[in-house]
Amino acid sequence: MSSITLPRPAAGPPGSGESLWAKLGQDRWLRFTLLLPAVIVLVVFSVYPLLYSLYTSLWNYRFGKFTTFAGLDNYQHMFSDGAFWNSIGTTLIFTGVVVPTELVLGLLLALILVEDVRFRTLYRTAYIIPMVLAPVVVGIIFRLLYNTEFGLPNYILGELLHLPRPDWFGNPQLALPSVMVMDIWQWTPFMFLVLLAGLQTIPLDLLEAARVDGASYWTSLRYITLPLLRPTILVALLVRTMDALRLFDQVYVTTLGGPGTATEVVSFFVYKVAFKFSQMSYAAALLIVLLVITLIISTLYIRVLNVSHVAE
Amino acid sequence: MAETTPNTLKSDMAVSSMPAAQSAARRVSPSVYAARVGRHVILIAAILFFLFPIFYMVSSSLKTHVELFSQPPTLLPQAPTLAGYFDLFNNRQFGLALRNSLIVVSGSVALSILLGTLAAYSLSRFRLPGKLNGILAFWILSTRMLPPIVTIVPVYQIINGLRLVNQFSGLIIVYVTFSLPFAVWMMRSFISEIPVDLEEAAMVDGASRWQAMWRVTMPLIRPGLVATAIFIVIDSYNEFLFALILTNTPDRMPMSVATAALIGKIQVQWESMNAGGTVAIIPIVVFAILLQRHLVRGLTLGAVK
Repeated sequence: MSSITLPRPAAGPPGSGESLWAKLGQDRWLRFTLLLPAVIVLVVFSVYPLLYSLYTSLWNYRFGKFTTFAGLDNYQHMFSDGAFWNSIGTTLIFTGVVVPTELVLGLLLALILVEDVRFRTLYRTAYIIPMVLAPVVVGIIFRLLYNTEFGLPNYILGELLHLPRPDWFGNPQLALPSVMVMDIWQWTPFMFLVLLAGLQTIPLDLLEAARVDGASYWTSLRYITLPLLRPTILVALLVRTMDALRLFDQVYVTTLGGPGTATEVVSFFVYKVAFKFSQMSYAAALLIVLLVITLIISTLYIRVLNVSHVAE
Repeated sequence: MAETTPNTLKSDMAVSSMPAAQSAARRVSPSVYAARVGRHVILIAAILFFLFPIFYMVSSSLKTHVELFSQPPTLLPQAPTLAGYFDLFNNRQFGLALRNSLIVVSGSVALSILLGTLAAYSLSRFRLPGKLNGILAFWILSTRMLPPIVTIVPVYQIINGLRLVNQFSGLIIVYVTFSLPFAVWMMRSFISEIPVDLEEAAMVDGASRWQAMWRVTMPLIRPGLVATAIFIVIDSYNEFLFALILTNTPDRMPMSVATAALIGKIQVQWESMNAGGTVAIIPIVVFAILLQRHLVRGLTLGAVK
């Protein structure tokens, strides 16, 4: 029914009781041997780093050495650090604008292309391309477009419409919206593709029945399509929200967080603290806070996945 | 196997088998006609929106310096030149970046698929003590959700401690840790779709555990394997942050870092930057078009098929 399926977490391992598989399949050591390499890699590179960050965040770290115990100083520093709150605010605004916009645009395109449109395969192929490009290249593409001297938008604004030619990335008021446009350009395709896949799982006879009963397109959209699409929409929203929290590459190749701190999102702020200012302990504390935020969102995400699995 | 193919985006047929839509398309009333025109206007506007920026970069990469700065901007190069590309490969060692990316990407794909598939097999076929199956699966998934920046400082210190900074192997290890959760999660869902009976039958006929696994199940999950691998290719090829931190000479920098380096600190080298961007996207766009059937499943970690 629902488009969401988890690969049967509970029902996965067979071998309850006396089945044939139980006798043949349960290999006492093999099951651990197979898991071990992956678990070791993940422990070393994701669990240990977190513990290390936690430890680092509680100490003062100077020139590659732990000097004195700092307790919660690094965390307290966060509260009074305007730059940190600025980066949180920027990230929130960014996410709050970008994710819903992408949802609406992606949904619009998906609703059109789920119908029997001519050249639909061609359209779909064209729409997904931005999504797979390296963010670094997307940065280059938009530096070219946004160029004040010879970019095409500025030519249209300046020469054809006789309007002022804005400095897209250089103007503190325009820099963040410009980065947002870049993100919307790259990630609307994601929303489109995922929502299209969701729409295609909605049984046609249901919509057909509604049509026979005299429901208009908008009525069946409102009362059939969208409710059935809800789990897919949730997944898409959560994935994009997590992604938006990671935003780094595009900022690095276009504005470097500037002008001033106008586009300094939280990932970029942490990067600066760690690698430009070399305040490793403070960076570690920031990472821990960021981790907690992410954990909350990912728990939500996993719960949504599970709930829809149960609903199925 | 039977499950994997219909999951993809191929319901073109399902939609076109809608008789009502087709007959409605023939008897065109003005309002239906307007809706159809409106639909195509939106679709074509979207094509322009998504593809024009890419086209503009590719076209600009073939322009001369003078033409690039000329007003009005030209859509197509008036006197096409490969100067940017020559500069890229002769003076900026961009060929090296391609080679480096090839090494790093193939290394990390091979390793993460291997380790991921083994772990996934264990998670989906065996019962582990306690509730370890579910716990491990979710723990693995949750490591995927960390923003990379969260681990960057300690990971840098580990790699530095292993003397692997500016080494391919250092970058490969890091990329494997990114891709592994994804590989485990995806392969687990693909393996779960293959009925256990097949392996059972093989084992009753005298096959060993390993033979059942490699000869029976593995061939059947090949499509899933390919889909997962292609995804890891895109992710590792595009990765930037760790490559930036962990490499520092042209003979080790992968494509993403080499491309970003073209932007330059003081003066932007537009010709080679556009050429670099163009070269950088060609392999990945080809990949994207090849994998589009599998894209959705990978994007949502198998949540939406």
